[in-house]
Amino acid sequence: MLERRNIFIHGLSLTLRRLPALLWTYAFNLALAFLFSIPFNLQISALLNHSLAAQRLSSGFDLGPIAETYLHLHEGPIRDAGGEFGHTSIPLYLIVYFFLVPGTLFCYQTNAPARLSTLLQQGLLYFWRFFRITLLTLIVSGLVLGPLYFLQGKWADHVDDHIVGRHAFLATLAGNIVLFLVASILRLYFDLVEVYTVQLGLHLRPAVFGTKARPDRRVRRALGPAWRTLRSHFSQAWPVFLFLTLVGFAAVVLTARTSMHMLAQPRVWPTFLLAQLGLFLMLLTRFWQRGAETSLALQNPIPAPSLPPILPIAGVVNPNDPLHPGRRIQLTPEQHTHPPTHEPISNPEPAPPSLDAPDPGVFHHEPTKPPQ
Amino acid sequence: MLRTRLITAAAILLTSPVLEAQSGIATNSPNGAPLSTRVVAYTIDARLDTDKKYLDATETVTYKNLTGQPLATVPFHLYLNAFRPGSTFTRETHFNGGVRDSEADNDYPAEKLGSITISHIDADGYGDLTSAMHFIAPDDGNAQDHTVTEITLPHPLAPNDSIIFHLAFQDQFPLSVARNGYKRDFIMGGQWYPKPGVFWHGAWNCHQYHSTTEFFSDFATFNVTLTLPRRYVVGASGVPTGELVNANGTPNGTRTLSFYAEDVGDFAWAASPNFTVTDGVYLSSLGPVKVHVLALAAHPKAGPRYLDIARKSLAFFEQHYGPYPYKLLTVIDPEPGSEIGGMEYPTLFTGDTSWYDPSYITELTIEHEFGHQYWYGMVATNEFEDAWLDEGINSYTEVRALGAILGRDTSVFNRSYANASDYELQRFEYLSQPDYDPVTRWAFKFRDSDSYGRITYGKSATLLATLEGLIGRDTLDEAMRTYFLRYRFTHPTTEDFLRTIEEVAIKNGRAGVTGGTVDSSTHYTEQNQYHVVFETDKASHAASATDAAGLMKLHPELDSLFNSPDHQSVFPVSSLRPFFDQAVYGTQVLDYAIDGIYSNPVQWWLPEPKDKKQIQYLSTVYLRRKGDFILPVTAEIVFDDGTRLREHWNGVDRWTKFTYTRNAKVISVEIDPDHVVLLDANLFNNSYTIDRNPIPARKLSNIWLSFNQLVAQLVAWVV
Repeated sequence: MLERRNIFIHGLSLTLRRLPALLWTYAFNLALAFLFSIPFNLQISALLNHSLAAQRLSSGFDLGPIAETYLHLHEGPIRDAGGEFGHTSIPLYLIVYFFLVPGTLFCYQTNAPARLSTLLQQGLLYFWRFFRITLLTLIVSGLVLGPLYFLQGKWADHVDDHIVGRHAFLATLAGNIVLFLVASILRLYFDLVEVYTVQLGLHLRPAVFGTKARPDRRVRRALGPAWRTLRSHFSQAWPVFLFLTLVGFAAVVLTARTSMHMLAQPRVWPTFLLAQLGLFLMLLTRFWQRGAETSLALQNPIPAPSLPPILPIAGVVNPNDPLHPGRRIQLTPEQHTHPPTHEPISNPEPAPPSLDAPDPGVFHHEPTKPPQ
Repeated sequence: MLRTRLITAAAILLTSPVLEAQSGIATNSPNGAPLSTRVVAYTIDARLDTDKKYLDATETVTYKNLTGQPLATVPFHLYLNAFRPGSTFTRETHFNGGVRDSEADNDYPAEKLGSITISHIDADGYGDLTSAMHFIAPDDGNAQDHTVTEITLPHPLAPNDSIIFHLAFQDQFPLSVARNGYKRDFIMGGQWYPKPGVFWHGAWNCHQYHSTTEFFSDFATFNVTLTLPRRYVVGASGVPTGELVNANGTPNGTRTLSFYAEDVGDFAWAASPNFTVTDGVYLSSLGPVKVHVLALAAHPKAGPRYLDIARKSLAFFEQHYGPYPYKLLTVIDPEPGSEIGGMEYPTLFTGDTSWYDPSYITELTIEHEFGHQYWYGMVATNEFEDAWLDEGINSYTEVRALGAILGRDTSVFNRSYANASDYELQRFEYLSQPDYDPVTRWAFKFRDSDSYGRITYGKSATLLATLEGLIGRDTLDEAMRTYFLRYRFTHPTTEDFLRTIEEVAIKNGRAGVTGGTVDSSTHYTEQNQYHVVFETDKASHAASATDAAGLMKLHPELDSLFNSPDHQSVFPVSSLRPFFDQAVYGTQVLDYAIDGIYSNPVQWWLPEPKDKKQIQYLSTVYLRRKGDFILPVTAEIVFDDGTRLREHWNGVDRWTKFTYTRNAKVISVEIDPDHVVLLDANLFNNSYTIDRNPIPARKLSNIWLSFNQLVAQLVAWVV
């Protein structure tokens, strides 16, 4: 029987134990945005650094000069550098994220250290599986959320026809919250699909007719377990997911608001640090969600496939041969009563042979014996 | 506070009967004399079906022919017919954008269909004229446009005679598209009755309703009765004169409200069962003005906010331009999401707010629409042809008033961490599309609705703010006051406005006379563009003009020009004309820049001495004219020994340079150091300082960086 653990705590534990995964993701998030904001910075520096008119932005935050800066971004030799290149970091980050997420989930599930090489290597292995899952996510979300979005539009029209003011805002907000809740369930489900996909990749598919056993790359095989786990642990998983989502967004809103109130100061680093803190916390809660989902999946693993029997070599009959199909492994009483205390996922590698006595055909160094 | 209120109330109670005896019914006119030349008298009896948004009315229009010539035809505006697919209004809105609803979709919703139908018209002494009525489209010949109908009279109306029309008409109000119609159970009766055109400059001026145009009408009196369900609260132009509860004995019965308005060009009303009333009084020099705010119950803060800014605006305008002469000012809070917010009618206008507004947009809207009581309501310019004279001047006075009331730099948004101002808002609007059209272009001939809005509002306000800097705030205030007092209750033109400014500027010595004269009958139109000889050198000496007395001595011919009875229509051309020619009549863009500053040792081949104060530097400052707008320029040069010099450049050539040999380096140069030339398209390149300050760029870069990170993280939720 598997040990039941609190996915909220265990998820945090997994996240913190594999902290480099989070740190690398945040580093890419920051570095890419920083890299692609350099042209923007150069352009506005050329515009503002030596202008007395820009001083109103130094000891204050006058929206007039900012609006004018926006207009002049479209001028000059590096025309609209900010606009043309500034957002390039977003798709690039998305691509990097495609690599980092599978690697992170792999590390969460296998206790492998979250080195960048491991993350990227696993990301490469799982890239197309995750790409397919994302496509599936978009399709299903479109099918589910599309009609809901349409209904929300109708609801908003109905509200607009009959209610105004704060009540109308709240009524429309209620519709949007419903939409958000459904979207969160979809996201949670596909998060679980991703976790199970990685788990499945740790299993070897049985060899068939001379082909070698290879990792299971079938995404569809993760859909069922994810659905069953979500259905049977919905009351546990969804609140945790929602809570962490809200905490992440609240962190961003809170730090953004606080840093906004520092805009008029003649220094930038406090707003920078606060904004980065909020963004980091948002990412942390997302990784925490991944950890919680991993914990859930580890407690509800996909059964390992039964490998076909390995037949003995013809003509050799050795009843003590550990590979003999008729040989029964003797379990100690402890092995019978205690479930595995480590990760419940079985190691895909076959168990090492265990002999009752040293194989006489193999040399064993025994230091107590005098050399012959 | 309470004491002040008691004194105010007592003053009203004591003064009202006295003033009532002397003033008009709806105005605080001294001696009760008409304030305007009342060309038309309307009597309208209307019944409103609030469920069907349908109005059935009879109308009597008494039109007095003051044109000095016989009239064979009379055109009428039928504005509500604009709300149908084939109309010019909808066509322009669909293809070029509208100032309100875009109508960009390829279907026209049935609920947005509006119409006004004259089912019968006759005139005393002229018989039934229903069959003599036909639609005309004087602007574009669009046969499907039914916003103007013309009635051919069987015999001409003689000069100084009156004609009394009797009409029966029906309105179908649309779901609001622009300025009128309904939203939920709120109904705005704007441009809702047949209204004659204006005989102006020797011809009927009765344009079709266009996507970007507003209105133009003669001054008139209105006697209006409106019958509608009792639960509706109504605000209307003029003053209420009676209420009759109709004896049908049911809770859903009706009542008939009566209103009277005088010396106004239009009459509008608004009705909603959701209005709450907030009243206040402003004591003007002519008498008390009641401010009657009808705000939606869903906007509990709107009533006090509207009232406060309306009273402050009344005070500002009276102090700077002249008194508000009407007894009542009604402020309507329209339903949110309607296309009715922020619209002016005589003695009534609509605000625009929401249940949560942390900015001053609510105040800005009220101030702007109140300003239209002056620039449109009383100074009744032609909004079809001279839109800048109402919207532009009004945007400028809006900047002035809000700056005085809410702070120059904080008049739109005022928080400890950020601020925004109205003059910057207008400037931004102008700069985002600065050079497609001149401000004087007819409203429906602009490139599109965007250009119309940005030029008519933004550029006009910015050019007048620049003019304020050039001739001085006091002089422009005086000119505006003169313009208002001289032209209220008339229909002035662009030249009337500009000449008033020139006259006051010359009198105050803030502009010179360049010698030419212009006949005041010259009217700028699209077909007849007014030309003034562009004399840049003379313009550059505007600041050195003498005062009025000295001016007359220098130019004795001016005295005869100003005072000769035979030449009362002849005006001197001032040194402001080049500015007007470019800023008002032209599309030139103004942009002067610092092109470079250099300070090098004169004896550059010698080793640098220890005492750097001993080094003599050759400093050169280059200024450049990047735009095609020419304006004299002042530049302030600052040296590192603290010396400040101001240099003047006539700004004609593409560039100029100033060189100095001093024991100090130039550390900064600034064009327009007093920050008066707001028309300059790029204020950043107006100055250059040796000291680099990276904080502004870092602030914006930090926001940019964080924003991109946030978006990236949000996008990553798809994985």
